[in-house]
Amino acid sequence: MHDTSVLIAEDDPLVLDILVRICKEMFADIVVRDSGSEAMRALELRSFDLLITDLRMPGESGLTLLAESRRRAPTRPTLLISGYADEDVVGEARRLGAEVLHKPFGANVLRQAIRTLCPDLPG
Amino acid sequence: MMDTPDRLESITQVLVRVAGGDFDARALRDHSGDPWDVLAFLVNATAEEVAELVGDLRAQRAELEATRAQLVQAEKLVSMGQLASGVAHELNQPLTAILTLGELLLEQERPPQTERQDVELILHAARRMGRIVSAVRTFGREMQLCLQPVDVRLPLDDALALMSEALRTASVGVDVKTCPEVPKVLADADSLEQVFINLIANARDALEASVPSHERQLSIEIGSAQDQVSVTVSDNGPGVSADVVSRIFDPFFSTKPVGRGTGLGLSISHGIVEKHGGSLVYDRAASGGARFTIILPVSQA
Repeated sequence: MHDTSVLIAEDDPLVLDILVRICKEMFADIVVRDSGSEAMRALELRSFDLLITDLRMPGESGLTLLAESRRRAPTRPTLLISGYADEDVVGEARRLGAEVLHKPFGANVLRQAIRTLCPDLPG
Repeated sequence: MMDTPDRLESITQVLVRVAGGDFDARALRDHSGDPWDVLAFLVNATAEEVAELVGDLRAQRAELEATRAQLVQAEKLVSMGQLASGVAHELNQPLTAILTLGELLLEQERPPQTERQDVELILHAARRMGRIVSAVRTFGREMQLCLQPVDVRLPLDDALALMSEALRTASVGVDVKTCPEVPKVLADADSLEQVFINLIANARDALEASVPSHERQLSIEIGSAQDQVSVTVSDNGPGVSADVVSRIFDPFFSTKPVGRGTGLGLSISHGIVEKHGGSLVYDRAASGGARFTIILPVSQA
């Protein structure tokens, strides 16, 4: 058994803080990046059980991260957090195998989404 | 026969007045047909022609200015829409934090009952903000309609079902009349449902605000004529007052109390119906209340 790990890419400190709080309930290993390019580098360096990414960030966008994650680990679950109810983006993210969560959401919706993506998580 | 000096004086005066902008001036004529009379006739005809041209010019200028004012207004609305859309997006971040932290607080054993109620109130308010943000964003977005032949009674029934609780608690009686044959229209059923919900919700709010509870009545009538299907939604409320009737389809215009309306419902509805190649118009119902009529072209498919 390895420690379950998640990479969170989010540039808004407020949203990042609540993502971390919820993830702490389920993940032992949480890595946080506040830009798309930094998150991209983290994906190159090691593996994660889950990727949670914002859509719009400095550097690379969430969609680019999803594509990169899929290229490196096709079965890794991914969750895109979007403030844009933009059908094109949602469609593209789903094609890349990601689940999409629209802001604003609460703790329960976020937990539910993560548990659906990673059914074997502890806690 | 007039004296020559008098005729010269008369013609000169007319020319001076016309030159000064008074195009109603006319020279006196004796209709003798002599050269002075012909000259007076020509001066008068010219003044008349000038008067007509100036009248046309003034009308065109007024029209131009009205169009320009409309353009300025439209530009203002576009930039206001973009601004509102941006603000709405930014609000989603703190709203996410409020909702999440509020839910986490409720999960704790510690907070006493009164504080729990306060947290629930905060969550309730945050969810309402979320709905407003979503309405503003829907408005700012280019709509993608999925057009199919639709029986308008289906989205109408769905809208009435969704609104049934709200109508019941406000003691609003509902009366639906439909013509025997309702041809299908080419429409996006979800968007039409949204239009019906907006109109029904407005009627409900107006009735609740100003009609005694046992008299509140909402009437919906489906009709069809030639290649069109019409749906009228009317109430026996106070109707829209004359001084604001020209603004009811403007975005962000609302007569509801602060916090009740986003001012986007009718504007969104108007946009949706126009995108269907139809029209949404307001007039006064026979009862004196508000009446909105949606007209949609019949599907040729």
